[in-house]
Amino acid sequence: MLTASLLVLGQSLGVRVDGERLRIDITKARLLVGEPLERLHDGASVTYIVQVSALTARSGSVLTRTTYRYVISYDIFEERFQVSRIQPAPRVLSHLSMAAAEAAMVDSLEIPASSIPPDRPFWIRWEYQVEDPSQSADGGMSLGTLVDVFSRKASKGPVGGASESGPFRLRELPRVAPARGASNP
Amino acid sequence: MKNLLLIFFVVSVGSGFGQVTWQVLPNAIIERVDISGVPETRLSMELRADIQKLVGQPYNADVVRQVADGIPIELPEYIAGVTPQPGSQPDRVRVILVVAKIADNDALRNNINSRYIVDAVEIGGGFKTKISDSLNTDLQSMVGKNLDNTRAEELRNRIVKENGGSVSVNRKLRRGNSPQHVKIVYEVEKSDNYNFGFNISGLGAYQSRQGFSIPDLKVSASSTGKGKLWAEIENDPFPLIERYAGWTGGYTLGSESARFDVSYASYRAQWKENTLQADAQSGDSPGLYRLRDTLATSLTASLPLRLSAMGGVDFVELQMQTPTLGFQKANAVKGSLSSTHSRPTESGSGSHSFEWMYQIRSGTKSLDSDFVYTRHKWTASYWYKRESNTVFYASFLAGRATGTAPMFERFSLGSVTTLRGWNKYEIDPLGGNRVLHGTAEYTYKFLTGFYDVGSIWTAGQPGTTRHSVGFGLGMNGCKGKQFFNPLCLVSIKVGFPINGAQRPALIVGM
Repeated sequence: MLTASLLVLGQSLGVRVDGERLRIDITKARLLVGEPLERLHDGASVTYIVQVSALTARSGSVLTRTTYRYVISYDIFEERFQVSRIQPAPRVLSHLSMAAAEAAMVDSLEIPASSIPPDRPFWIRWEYQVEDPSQSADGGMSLGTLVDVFSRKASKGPVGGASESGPFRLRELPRVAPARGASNP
Repeated sequence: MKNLLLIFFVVSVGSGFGQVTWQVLPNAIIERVDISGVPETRLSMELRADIQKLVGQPYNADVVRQVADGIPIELPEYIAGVTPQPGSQPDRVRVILVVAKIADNDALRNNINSRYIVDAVEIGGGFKTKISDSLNTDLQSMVGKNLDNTRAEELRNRIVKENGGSVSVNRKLRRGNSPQHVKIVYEVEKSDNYNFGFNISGLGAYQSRQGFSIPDLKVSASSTGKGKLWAEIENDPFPLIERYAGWTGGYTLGSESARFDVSYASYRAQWKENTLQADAQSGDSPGLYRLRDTLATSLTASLPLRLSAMGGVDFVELQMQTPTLGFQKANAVKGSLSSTHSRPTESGSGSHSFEWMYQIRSGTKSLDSDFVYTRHKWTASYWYKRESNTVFYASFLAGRATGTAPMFERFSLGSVTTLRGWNKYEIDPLGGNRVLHGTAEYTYKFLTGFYDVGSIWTAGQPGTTRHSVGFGLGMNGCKGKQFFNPLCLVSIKVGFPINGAQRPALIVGM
């Protein structure tokens, strides 16, 4: 059951327990593609929202969720990427190759384990979406804007993807060994 | 720290090596290399050795830069620049490798290209574009400065607006003619011919003693070069003394620089008991009406100095219920002058915005109006946004009406944006013909504190200055997934009247 990873969009998803948190491992994630990549090559910033959720079932309700927000830019002289994590804990990595930039966006993903019952099965869902540049501009947000976004003529579909994996049980998951000298959480 | 960083980027990265006031002599020998901004021990032994190998070598900007580029490769959260300094002899040079943390500079954190200097702004693409002198001035003002993505995007939006939304504009960054310099290219293309839209402008609002307004439902259809047809339904108790409910529709032709509008509105008016009683008892009341139909026309033009001017005529028919049943006209000429200014803060991470407007409306016998009056209104607002989570806002309102203005032209305070906490029906149920009001508001992240002060009165009668304070929960400037944050969709404010017998008022949704 622990190896029941579902491959979607070419990437794999695994889960480990690290103290009070679940660490999510994503490999082979291809995020910098298509129109967002074109915008980056044109010197624009592109915002990616990555979300990790623990679900009661594959299409079940959310037990817990963590949202990550990244602003990516591409140095047009050095031809290297910069990944700036805005949320939750700000962090900037620069001078990255495309593969390293993609890895930086799926590195250190985690959700709190405290909301997940230890004996009940759960699923992990990882998803990302590229923010529409028209939403990136400063300005008030309201239900009106929300309806406007959903009702306007769609020129290009939103860029995003998702991957699900499960079922898992908390007590059966592999645990990250504590660092030597660290107190046992 | 941010200012220091900016100086560092301008001098050591943006301006290039040979453009500072002191210049390195040809074949000058590097006598020393220092690293600033990060402990040398954080670099690998190999990189430190490469850096020290520069000592004794003739100064070569490209070679020094290549070595400096090794620093951010080892420390990807940092950026490095090169600053040559005079050595102990005229033919000697001291090199400082200035290292700075990217996270300390908002502009760099959001786009690494912000460290480069703009040396040209170009308009390209396959469509002839209208660019006003003021917009062109603003576009060219980016030249010679570090790339400011927020500013560049604002100007992209202005190109679209000045062309009446008939174009799509892609902003691209290209390498400039010299190292570390870039050019911004706005590629303009003709947009789709037809566009249909449906939106809800505003969430609507609730005030605990005045009730709900429903969101304005608007449908529109536009065609490039042929204008925009729109229709909207409204039901709102807040802007006027009356609650008005009905529909409005219109046609807009033109662009941001020159626009013609014609619209028709039909509203049913509902009056609170306080207003009905005051109308019955007061000799100052201009009379209440059941229906208000308006045919409005206007011409709006953009002027130099960011000014916008509007002139027009409104034909208004009122179905009166007091003092006598019947129809009356409130036809008026109208005009306004307004201006909006916005500039980024010195750090580039915030902005100052200021806008003001003067409006005049005059009912006159020459337009066959039964109400003869002149109404002046002045408004001004200022915002100071510091980064994304702190906003200071202040606004001012003054109004004066002479003659006999109809109820919809009378001023009121004590609603969802003015004297929050007070109830306009208890302050002045018939409204007034003089008004003064000011607001100061400070928002940190999702928490807002505000102070309102204002006075409304009728000429010849004493006025009372009222104050209110309050707080609110809500978020502005939400992006992306924040759509689903409840504080982005709905805000809650509580206003407390000061020295008043009224209870606090709850305001939701503004």
